[in-house]
Amino acid sequence: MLVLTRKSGEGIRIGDDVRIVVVGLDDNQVRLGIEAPQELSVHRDEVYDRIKDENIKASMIRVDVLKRVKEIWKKGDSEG
Amino acid sequence: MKGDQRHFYAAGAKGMPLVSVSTDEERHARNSAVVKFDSIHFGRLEVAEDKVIVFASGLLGLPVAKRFVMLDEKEDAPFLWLQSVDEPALAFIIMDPLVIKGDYKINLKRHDVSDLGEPKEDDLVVLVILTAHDGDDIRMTANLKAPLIINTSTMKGKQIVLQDDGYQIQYPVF
Repeated sequence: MLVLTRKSGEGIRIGDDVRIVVVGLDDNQVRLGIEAPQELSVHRDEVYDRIKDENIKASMIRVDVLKRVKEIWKKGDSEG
Repeated sequence: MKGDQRHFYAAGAKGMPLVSVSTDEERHARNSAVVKFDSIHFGRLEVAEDKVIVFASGLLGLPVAKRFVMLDEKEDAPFLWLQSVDEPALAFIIMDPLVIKGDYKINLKRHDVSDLGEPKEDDLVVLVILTAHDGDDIRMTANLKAPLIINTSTMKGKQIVLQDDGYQIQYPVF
C-alpha cells in the first residue's frame, strides 16, 4: 500500500479525475473530501463489508427454512 | 432534474424472466440452447440459455459466480429463488421490494446501468435479496440498501449500493 503524509488542506490525486483532500483533523479522526466523477461509487469500507456479509449470510438459506418462511407469510396474509 | 437522471421504480412481476422449477416443458417448447447445471436445492436443472442472467461482477462478496437463473416455485408467496448456474450451493431468496415496502423507489443515473446495455425503463427489474435469521422464531429481512437491477432485454444484471437513500441492509420483513 502506498502511504503518503498530508497536512490539513492538502490532497492527493488518483488518475486525472479523482481528488481526495484532508478537510480536517481531530484527535483520532480525519475528515476527507472526495471529488470524483459521478460514475464512481464512493462508500465507507464498512458499508461494503456489511453488504458482503449480508450477501453471504443470505446465500445460506435452506429449503426447510424457506418452507417455514412461506407458512409465516401465508398466515400473515390470511390474518390480513 | 439533471439531463442524465431518470427515476426507476421497482417493477412488478411483469416482464420478469422467470423459470419454472419444472423445466421440461420449457425445454421442449424452445429451440434455444439449454444450460444444464446442478443445484443443491433442486437437483439437476436444464434451463433455456436465454433465461440465464449474467452478473458480470458477481454479487458483492461473491464475485466468482456470475450466471444465475430465477426460479419460481409457482406458489402464492412472493418469494423467488436466484440460483447460481456455476455454484450448486449458491442460491438466494429474492422478491419484488414493492411487496414489502410500497414506496420503495431508487434513483438510478444512466451511468449506474449503462453496463447493462443501455436499458429502457420498461426493461429494468428491481429485486431485493432476503436473509433468514434462523432461530426459534424466524426473522426475515430484506436488503433494501443493495438491490439487484436486471435488464430483461439483455439479461444482464448487477447489484448496486445505493449512495444515501437511508434504506436498510436489514429491513425487517417479519
